[in-house]
Amino acid sequence: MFKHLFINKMKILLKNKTMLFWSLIFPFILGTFFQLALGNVDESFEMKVIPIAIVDNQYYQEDKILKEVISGLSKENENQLFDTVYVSESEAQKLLDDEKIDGYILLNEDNSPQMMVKTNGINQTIIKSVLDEYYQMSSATTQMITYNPEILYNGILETIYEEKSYIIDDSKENIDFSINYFFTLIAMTCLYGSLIGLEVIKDCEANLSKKGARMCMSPVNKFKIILAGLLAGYIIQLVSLTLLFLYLIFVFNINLGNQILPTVGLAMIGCLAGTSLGTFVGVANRKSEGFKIGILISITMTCCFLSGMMGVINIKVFFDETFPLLAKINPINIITDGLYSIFAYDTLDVYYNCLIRISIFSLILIILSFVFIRRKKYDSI
Amino acid sequence: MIVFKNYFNIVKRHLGIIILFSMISIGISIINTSYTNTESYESEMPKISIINYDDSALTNNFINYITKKSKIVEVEDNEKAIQDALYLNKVDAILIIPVNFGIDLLNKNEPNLKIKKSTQNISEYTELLVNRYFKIAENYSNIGMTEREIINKIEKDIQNEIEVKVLNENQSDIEKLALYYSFENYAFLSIFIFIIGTIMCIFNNENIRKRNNISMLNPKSFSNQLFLGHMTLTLSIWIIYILISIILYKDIMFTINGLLLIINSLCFAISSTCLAYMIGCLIKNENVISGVQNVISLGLSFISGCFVPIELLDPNIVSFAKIFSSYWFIQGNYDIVKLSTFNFKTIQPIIQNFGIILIFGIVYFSIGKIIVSKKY
Repeated sequence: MFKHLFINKMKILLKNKTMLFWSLIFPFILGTFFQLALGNVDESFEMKVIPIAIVDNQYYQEDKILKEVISGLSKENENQLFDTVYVSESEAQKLLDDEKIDGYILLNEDNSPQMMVKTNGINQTIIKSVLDEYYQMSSATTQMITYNPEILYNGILETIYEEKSYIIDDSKENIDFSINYFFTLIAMTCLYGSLIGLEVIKDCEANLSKKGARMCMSPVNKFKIILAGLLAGYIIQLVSLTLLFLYLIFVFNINLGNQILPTVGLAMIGCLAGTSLGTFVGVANRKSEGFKIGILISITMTCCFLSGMMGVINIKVFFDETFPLLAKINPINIITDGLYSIFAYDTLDVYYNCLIRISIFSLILIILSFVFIRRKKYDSI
Repeated sequence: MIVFKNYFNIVKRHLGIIILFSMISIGISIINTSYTNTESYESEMPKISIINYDDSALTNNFINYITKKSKIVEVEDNEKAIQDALYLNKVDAILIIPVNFGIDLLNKNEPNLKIKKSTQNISEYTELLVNRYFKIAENYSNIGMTEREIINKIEKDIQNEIEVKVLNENQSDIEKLALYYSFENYAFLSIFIFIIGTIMCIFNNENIRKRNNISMLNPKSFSNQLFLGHMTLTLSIWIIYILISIILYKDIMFTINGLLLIINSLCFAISSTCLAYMIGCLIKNENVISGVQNVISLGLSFISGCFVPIELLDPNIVSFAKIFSSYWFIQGNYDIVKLSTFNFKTIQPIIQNFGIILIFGIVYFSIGKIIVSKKY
């Protein structure tokens, strides 16, 4: 009987277009949007040539070293930092107003330099930093000559302008925040299993649909019907998730880490959390199906937002720090953190913590759902 | 105006879910704007964490220097905490100064400190600061200066800084405002498609439609009253959104920039209503609405610069985004906040932008009308 119920439920669910859209199509569409939006991010963070203007006045012409430095940094080669134009002050101001340049440099009568920028940003910071370096190194050179005039002849002075690094880059493999979008996407797909849970419950509960009322009349154990339905839905959800993983890894070449087993484990429990959430919302109230779908999608999307899915990095940090309890029970956040821990850490202790939390989340909802289901007896519908 | 009246009876019945959706979308916009850093000259300093194992005077002086040039963030000295801080963008770079770094530098032992950095440009700036400081220190050491002398001289050197004049001082707040308005793209599309889609589905129900067809009511009047209902509802939500912006940013909202933002937003609200109307004309099944709502609102928000800044997007995606009003609306917001001089020449492109957004609205509305006329 269980096999019969299971197979039939599977067929019914596979014909449900709304449910299939949310579990199968929507994550793919969203994943594609993520890739479209974020595919260029790495390139965008690479240093680009900064357009600047120099006010070509008498004081600039007199500062031979600055002229040399600027022209060196503006030479067209792989180390080019500035794209410089030499213009009058009014022209420079116009270029700045039209946003053709990020800033312009003006040397005044007392040789004090000024930098004009319209808005603030990283490019302006870099221009300032380069000019600061020039003036600070000039000051250092003067102080060195004053301290020991011999350096003018023994070659030490030349070394001051040589490029030298005092830093070893010890950064791990680039784990930037953009991967978080894909983690939240996987977590979201797990949680959309809730719609399957809802669909299964709707067809089993007498007060939710005509089919449910008929099912309740049948001489089959109610738990057997629900269990067969949920199992069928759970398997569909796992297949959807597997397809999503394959799509992200093989079509978009996204590196989700190489620890397959823990990832699969978390995804399986994540899907269980989704199914149990749907079951709970399905049995906990008597509102229409449309209302319940609305509630489930709202919960899922809000949890996604709080986990940083909608473009803003600071939101996740803010909620993690300000409302740690909320962050710890947000199922999307738990799955996202779990996937990140597999990806980033050498040990699995954070992963186990996430796995336990998402299991508790699922367990509580399953118990509550059973409490609701058990209580229901109908004299008349 | 029986249809118009009836429209709001239906709205009343769905008020719970409409309020829930609107609150979520508006709430997300407010939170998103409030906790997003916008660039300002002061804040465009790298967020650095320093893990120091050295206790020399030179290193301590370096830490003083870097503290003035950056925002220091405390991070625990363990691999996991470091990894988390970089991943969550709490820091741009973490500097690890080894034992005896200062002495080794002065003794010409060529020491190196370690950096763990994020992928952001600003972490490169950190390297610039570090290398500059120690290059000067090493050169001073090479000519025989003592540690104390080196520190004193460097203190003098680093005071030589170029003076910066920022023309738009109030940029941080006004950029936040642009961000708030740009988030309307997600909020409006999400709310409008949901509400209008739900109501259109009810009116498009076959039985109701047939009943309306045989009524005395002119189909044109029916359709116009329905659209008037949509406009009344969406513009009420638009007013709430504007009022919130006035409460949050009252200083900027009562300027010409603020006025232009409101007009831009009104154009977009009208255009989004037309888009939602067009979608509503296509949808028959109520269960489809949530799907369409999420795909369109999230999709357009990702490719038009609402969630991810437009400068980070692939140029081809940006070209594609131009065929939607969302792109012109978001671009318009950022153009408006950049305006500092107001004359016909500077405002003309903004007005053109309003026109483009409204033309999109007319196109969406016309397509909706064509669908209705073909269908029924």
